Amino acid sequence: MNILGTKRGGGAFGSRGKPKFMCVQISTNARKEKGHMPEQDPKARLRQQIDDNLKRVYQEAVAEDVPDRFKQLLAQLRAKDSGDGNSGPGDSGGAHQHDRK
Amino acid sequence: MTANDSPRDQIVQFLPQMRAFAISLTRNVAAADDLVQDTIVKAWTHIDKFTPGTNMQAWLFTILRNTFYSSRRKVSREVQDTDGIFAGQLSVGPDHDGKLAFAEFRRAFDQLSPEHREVLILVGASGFTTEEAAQTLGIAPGTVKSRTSRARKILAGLMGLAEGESAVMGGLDAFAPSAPSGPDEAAA
Repeated sequence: MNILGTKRGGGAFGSRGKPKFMCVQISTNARKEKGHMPEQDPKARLRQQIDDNLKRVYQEAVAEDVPDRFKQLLAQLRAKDSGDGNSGPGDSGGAHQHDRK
Repeated sequence: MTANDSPRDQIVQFLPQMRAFAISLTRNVAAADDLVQDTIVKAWTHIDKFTPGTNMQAWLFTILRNTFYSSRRKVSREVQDTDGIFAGQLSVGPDHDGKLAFAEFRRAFDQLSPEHREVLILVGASGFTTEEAAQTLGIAPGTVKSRTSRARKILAGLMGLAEGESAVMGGLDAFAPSAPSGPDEAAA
């Protein structure tokens, strides 16, 4: 997932944005290795399994490609905003064809 | 280049997460995308409500879920069409080695109420702390904990797993049919 691959926003977030949620790792596989599951509280183990699956559900969705329409929408909003008084959609990276009909 | 650090510029960074959260709520990609779109517009328009330096993802998620619940009230019928989405993946049987079969898990997850799905996703999968989840959901941290625990239990029940039991039993059908509204705390 190249979430940061887009640099339309100027790319200068980071210093205070602290995208710590990006670091969600799937630790699922660590546990998937079967075999010597230590004698563990079964309740805790079930809970761990649930969380592993939840992470997988979520991560699969996060990893999907984000449709272009959202970035186009942001570009439109930006253009509309900066072009408030005047006409030009101008600077926001240009060349978006109109997406919706 | 002038410093271009309007919080608006951060929105794009959270699109994948917003979309994933929206899918968790709607269980429907098309509906999720509409939801994300509405959220983007609202966030953009009301960016002055965002306090720089605070957690933008939590802020966006708050807008997203508020939008979800208010539109759901309007079209409460339309949201029911989620059953068939993952139908193609559901043929996998349960594992018998104590692990949860993912397809089965997903089916159970889909049967939860959105209130339970969201708290599980926030706390269990997306890395929110209890406090962040509480803030996002507009409830007390204690409620986050109790709701999470309740959601886990229901989820386990839907998969035929009693708490403390880690074998996956068959017989999902006994739990599957309709009426997920029964054991929901929200009524109480």
